[in-house]
Amino acid sequence: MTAAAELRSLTCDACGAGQSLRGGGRIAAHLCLYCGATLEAAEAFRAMRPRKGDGPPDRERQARDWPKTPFEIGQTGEIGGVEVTIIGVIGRKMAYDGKVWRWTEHQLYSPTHGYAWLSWEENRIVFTRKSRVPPKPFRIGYIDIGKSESRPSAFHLGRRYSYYDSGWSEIEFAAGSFNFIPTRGDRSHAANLLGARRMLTYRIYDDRPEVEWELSEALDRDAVFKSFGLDPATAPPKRGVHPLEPFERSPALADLRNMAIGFAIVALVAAVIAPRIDLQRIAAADWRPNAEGASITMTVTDADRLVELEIETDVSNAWVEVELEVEDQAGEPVFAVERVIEYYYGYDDGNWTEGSRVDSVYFRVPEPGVYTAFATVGESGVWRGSFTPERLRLSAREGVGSPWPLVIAAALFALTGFGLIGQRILHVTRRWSGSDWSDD
Amino acid sequence: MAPRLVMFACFAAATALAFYMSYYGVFGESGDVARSLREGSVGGPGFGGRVK
Repeated sequence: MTAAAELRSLTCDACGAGQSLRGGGRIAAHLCLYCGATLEAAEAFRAMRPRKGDGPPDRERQARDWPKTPFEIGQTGEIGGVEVTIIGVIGRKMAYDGKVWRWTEHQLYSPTHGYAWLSWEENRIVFTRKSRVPPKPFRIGYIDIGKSESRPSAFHLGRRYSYYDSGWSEIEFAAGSFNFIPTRGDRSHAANLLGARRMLTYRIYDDRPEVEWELSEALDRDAVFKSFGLDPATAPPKRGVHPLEPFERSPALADLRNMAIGFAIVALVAAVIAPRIDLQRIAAADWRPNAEGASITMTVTDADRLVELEIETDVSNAWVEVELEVEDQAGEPVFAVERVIEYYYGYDDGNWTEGSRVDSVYFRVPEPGVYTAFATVGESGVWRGSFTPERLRLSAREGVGSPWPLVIAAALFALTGFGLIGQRILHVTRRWSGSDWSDD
Repeated sequence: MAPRLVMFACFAAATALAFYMSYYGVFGESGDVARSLREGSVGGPGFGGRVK
């Protein structure tokens, strides 16, 4: 135990402000909350001469530069079931390509679990702790990243991480107690590698040779706010997707996804089966067009379902008009239609065909009974070779259904299910969208 | 549990409705036949415009 473990309050001998000292026995320094003077534990918390970049203690500057954060030093909350206290605040800045990013880090202290960090960045809360277990590779620095031809990756505690971004950041502001001595202008390089839920950071300082490893994860902001006695309703809105933000889906949406995909499969299978239930041929006739005409007599027993009239010709590299008329038992016409049947084939860098020798007409009769279908061949034309219509086959089936309602239902269900899967893919894409890696 | 049952019932009802429509061939009628029936005309180029 050092003095810091026992000392509970102190007076800044630079500005005379009294303040609490928190943070247990490994506190290396306390930076005055009011004037920024560095009070080192090794010097019995007396104000030392300003370190590089710090400048003289300055109350105005300290108040003006205090970084944006909803948290205050001294607040206590629970993270992962462990009670922690905020003992220090650091404002960090990263500048690159004319842009500047700022975020706030809070040093946390737990009497049982030691020190960790809680960051407030992009209106989100990220929890970071140092790891003593070395990842593979042991070190990834800015030189390694610059030389790498493919996206660097690492393994740590059985998890894989891929390079996300990197850069130098510097301390702009510090106040409170810390287990190291923060100084304005201190720079460190962070190489961030992103995993499924966590980020692995290789941190290198510009004045020290060693590398530190940190593991970060996003915390549920509302839960942390409540735990630290803050009102979640006062939190500023989140924008975009943070790389550490896990994909969250309610159990109801997961049920919706599973059911939508399950019922899409059921509807597709039913689309094959339903139109064929009770399907039966009711008439068929072969016919040569040189005769007067062709007709078939159909006895339709179910007027609620469709009747299919199929026309098959021997058309070859030609087209032919077929006129169809259906009459009821009294000889009254029910409907009449005309179809052009055409079929072509040839060879052009491989065999090809176009059109079909078969066409179908689907209709519903007004009532069960006997109906007669007439077919007449009209004009015809030849594309290649010679063709004379010789043979035409007319057949009818009743009890015909249509797969389309079930196909449409299956498509809508699948759209719902895969849309929800796509939501996750979109989230992952957005998580990685801020990566500065380029394969070029 | 209740939302899951409601969701299942909705999917089952929609599938049953689609099955019914498929069985009876809703939307399956040929367009030209439907037009011919709607207009009461059996007249095509080869039929001299006879009216039912």
